[in-house]
Amino acid sequence: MVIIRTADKEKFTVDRDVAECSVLLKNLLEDVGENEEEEIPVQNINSSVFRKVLEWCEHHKNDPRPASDDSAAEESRRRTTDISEWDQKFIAVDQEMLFEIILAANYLDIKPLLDVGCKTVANMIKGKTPEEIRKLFNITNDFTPEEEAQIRRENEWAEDR
Amino acid sequence: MEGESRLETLPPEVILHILSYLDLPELDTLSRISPVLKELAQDPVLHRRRILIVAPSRVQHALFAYGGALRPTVPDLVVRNVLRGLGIERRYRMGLYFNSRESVKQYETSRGLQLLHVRHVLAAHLQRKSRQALTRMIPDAEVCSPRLLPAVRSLKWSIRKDALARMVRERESNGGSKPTTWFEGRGHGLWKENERIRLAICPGVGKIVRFFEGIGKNEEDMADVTDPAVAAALTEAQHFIFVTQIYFCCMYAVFVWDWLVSLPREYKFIWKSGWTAAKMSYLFCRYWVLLVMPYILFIYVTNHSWEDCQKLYRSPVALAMWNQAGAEVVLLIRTYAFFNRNKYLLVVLCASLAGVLAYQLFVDINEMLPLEFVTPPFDEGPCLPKSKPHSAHILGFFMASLAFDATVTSMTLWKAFRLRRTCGAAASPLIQTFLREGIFYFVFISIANLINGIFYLQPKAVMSAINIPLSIMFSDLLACRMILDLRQRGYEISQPTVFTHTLPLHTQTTDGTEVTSTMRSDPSSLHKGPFSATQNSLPYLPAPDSQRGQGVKGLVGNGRSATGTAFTTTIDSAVFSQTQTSGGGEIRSQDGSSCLELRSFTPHYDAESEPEEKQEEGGLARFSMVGTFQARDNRGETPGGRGGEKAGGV
Repeated sequence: MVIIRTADKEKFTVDRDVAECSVLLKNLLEDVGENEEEEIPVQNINSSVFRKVLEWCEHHKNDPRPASDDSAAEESRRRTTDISEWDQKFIAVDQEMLFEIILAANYLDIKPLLDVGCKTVANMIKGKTPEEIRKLFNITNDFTPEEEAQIRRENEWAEDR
Repeated sequence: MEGESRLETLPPEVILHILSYLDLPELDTLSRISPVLKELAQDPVLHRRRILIVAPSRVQHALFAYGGALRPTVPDLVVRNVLRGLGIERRYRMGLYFNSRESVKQYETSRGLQLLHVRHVLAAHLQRKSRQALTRMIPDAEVCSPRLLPAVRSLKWSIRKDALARMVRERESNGGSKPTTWFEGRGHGLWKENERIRLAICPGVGKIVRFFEGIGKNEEDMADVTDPAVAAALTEAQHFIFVTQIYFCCMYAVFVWDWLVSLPREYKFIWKSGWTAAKMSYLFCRYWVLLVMPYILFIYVTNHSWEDCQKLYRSPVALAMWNQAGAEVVLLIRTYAFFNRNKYLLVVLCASLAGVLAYQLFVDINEMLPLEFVTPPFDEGPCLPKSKPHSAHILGFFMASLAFDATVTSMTLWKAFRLRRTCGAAASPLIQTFLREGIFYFVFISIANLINGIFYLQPKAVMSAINIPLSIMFSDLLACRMILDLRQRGYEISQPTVFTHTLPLHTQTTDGTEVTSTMRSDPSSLHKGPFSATQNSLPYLPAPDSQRGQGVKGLVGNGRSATGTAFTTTIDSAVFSQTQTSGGGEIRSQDGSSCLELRSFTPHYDAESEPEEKQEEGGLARFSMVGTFQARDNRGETPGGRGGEKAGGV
């Protein structure tokens, strides 16, 4: 069991197995050794987000860990934006939480979770016009008309396929 | 959220991770959203990974799916702007890609080097001492002195000639090409091309040109019936075909008329006689023509369709050639008899006749084509034959029979003259001999065939076939008449009406000696003695040994092998040799007071001679009359028809 302290000072007592799905925590725990009493601070993550991450880790604690340099497996994994059913329900949160989870997964170096989040965002982007995407993610149009025309010209090669 | 999107606050690596799940269209879309996303969407590493993942399957699909049907063509690629850079070289030369002072310098330097190289090459070429340079050193005709002028000119001429010869030799040796090709190529225009030179280079060209011109002409002829020349030729052909048809019909009418007129004589001299080769050939000549000609007229005179003609056009010729064959057989038999039944002659004549027939059959089967119809609309007409193009076999068809006739006729004539010479020309005039021997018929038949042949040889092609009826019908008519005439004469001979003198009558005794008697019915010639009279009337008859009372039997035997050694009974102008059979003791003739009656003419001869006895040789009718003779009144009648008929036999 390890004790993890989030940014808002909340303490979580987590199974070592569960904590080790995060590469960051795993490395920390190896450095710390068997000292059970020491708290591990996770600075950038709020408790609500960390609870969510823990929920994911609890569910996926028995999954095989992907080998870090298994590029072939990674490539095949990257090509599909399919998300398992449980993960879909898990990630069905508001946009703020989604990005928080992505950031947390990135920070904690939980690759599968990061993939799930990124895939979700990618699925949101797919098949939409620039305007729709701007609306979705609340992005303001910073381009001048000239810039837009130039972008269109530069990206002609990507169209007409 | 406040003025700034959460998405853009994500670390770039996370955004790139997100983008790595997207493909080109989405990346394009994102790049239009904001400068930050644009930067990230164009990230080279992102695209490299994308291409590494995407390209293999995509390339596989695009190039090889559906058997390569999806593979884009080069124009497609250009239209899609995938295949770019075609103008790179051009733009580079225009200086569009120069992006530094160094590159400009480099470009200028390379161009300078190229120019320098070209200059070097040119200078090397110009400074080489060429033969042309040598020739230039010879002073021009205009500037040198008049004394040197001829020498300079000949020198120049020889230099040019040498150069020319060297060029030709080189080309011949290395390329193996002929001077002809050189003339066509580099030598072209060396001299003015004219017909003579072209002929010298290609000797057969004139023939080829004429051949193709001929083809053109023929096609024009075939195509243009309205052409006046063609129309005139057609009209002429129609006219001559019509004339030929009329000729055929008339000739057949003549033939039938002759048959009807000759019927009584035919009954008397042919039908009642025994079966001999002469009788058979007579019947064939007469009735084959009578039977076959209507069919031939049907084919030649009436109109038929082209398909029918293709089937039928050979049959008339195949049938009509036997007309000629019949007449030729008659001539053959006659000649054979005339030549004293020479076996070798018979074999030779039969062989040549067989050759003629075989050739005619060959022509009929192989060398003929149906004549095109000449009467518009060219869909029906008479089925006349014509020879194949460039073949003269139809002419040969008639020439073969003509050759046979002419050979036989000339042989007969020669024989007749020889007989006259050997036996003395004092007797009957030549014309009489000819009439007696039927030689005129020989001549006429030959002339009929000759006329036909001459018409084939005359230049006007449409008239060539016009005398065929003469050849195929008239000769038969003449042959029949010849047989009839000869038989009639023989018959008349056999019934003497006037006995001018009495011949010694020998009676046959049992010891086998023969009786020889001579009778003459010709009152104009007087006879001093029995055998001299006989001699005079038949000048070619040698002095009979029988005058000396020798046994005639042996003489007969000799006479059959040696010409002219005949003897015995002479009736009118014919001499009958008569012998007897071994056991005979009959009376052969009678004295002048009463007539000799020939009861029967048995065609037997002596036991050692041939059985067929009827023979005419040199106008000499020799018979071995073995049979019964009866003494009768002097009424001059021979009731025994058989003997009389035989006497007239050929």
